[in-house]
Amino acid sequence: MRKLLFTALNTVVLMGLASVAFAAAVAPETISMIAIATAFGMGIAAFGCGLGQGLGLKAACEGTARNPEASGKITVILLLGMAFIESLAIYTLVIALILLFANPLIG
Amino acid sequence: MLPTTRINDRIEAFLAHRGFYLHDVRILVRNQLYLVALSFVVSLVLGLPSWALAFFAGAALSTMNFWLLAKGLQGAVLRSRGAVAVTLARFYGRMILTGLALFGLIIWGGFPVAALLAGLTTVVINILFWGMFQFHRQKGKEA
Repeated sequence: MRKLLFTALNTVVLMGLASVAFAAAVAPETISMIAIATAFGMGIAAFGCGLGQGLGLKAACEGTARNPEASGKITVILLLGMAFIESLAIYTLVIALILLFANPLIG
Repeated sequence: MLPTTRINDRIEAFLAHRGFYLHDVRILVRNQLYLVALSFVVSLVLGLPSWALAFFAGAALSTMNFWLLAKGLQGAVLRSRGAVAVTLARFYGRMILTGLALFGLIIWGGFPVAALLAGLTTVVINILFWGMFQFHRQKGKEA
């Protein structure tokens, strides 16, 4: 099952990248570098956002456990923090999609 | 009672019925819904240019995200059984949907990315304005 999922995901990624590789008259090294940069960028963003969300959630859990009456206010603040952090990850996803599929610098 | 207050009350009653039991969260979601509606009306008035549609799509996408996040968090606090599985499923479902929607909008739709990003930023702007309003209200109470 895991192997099948891995193969399917690989196929999707390769099919997605194939259109870029064939459509643009750009050196393959450039495309490789863009793909690597995108992967690193998204990875770093996911790492930072995951760390931030985890810390926020940890603090919220501790706060709620210490003072259950304040759980309403804590939930609101947690929601705001999560929304802020998640928007950063979404921006990175947009940049990654632009770099991969709608890159203005490679025509 | 002012008509705007009546509309606010109706929307808040609808949101409360949908499971938004925290007052502040209801206000935030309500304001976000107003922003989406406003962007839709502006794009209709301007004759549906691509940048206005992209802004509306970004705002709608971020609102959907915010709605599901708010509802999921409130539900996770209340639910005693199966909270982890439901929250995880919701989170990954939301992320996959957002990714697919963004992919479709940017690659297949060819929407202007700057307007799309501006639409996605509406949630952040909404929260910032709400925070400023709360701060000023608290200052006013203290003074």
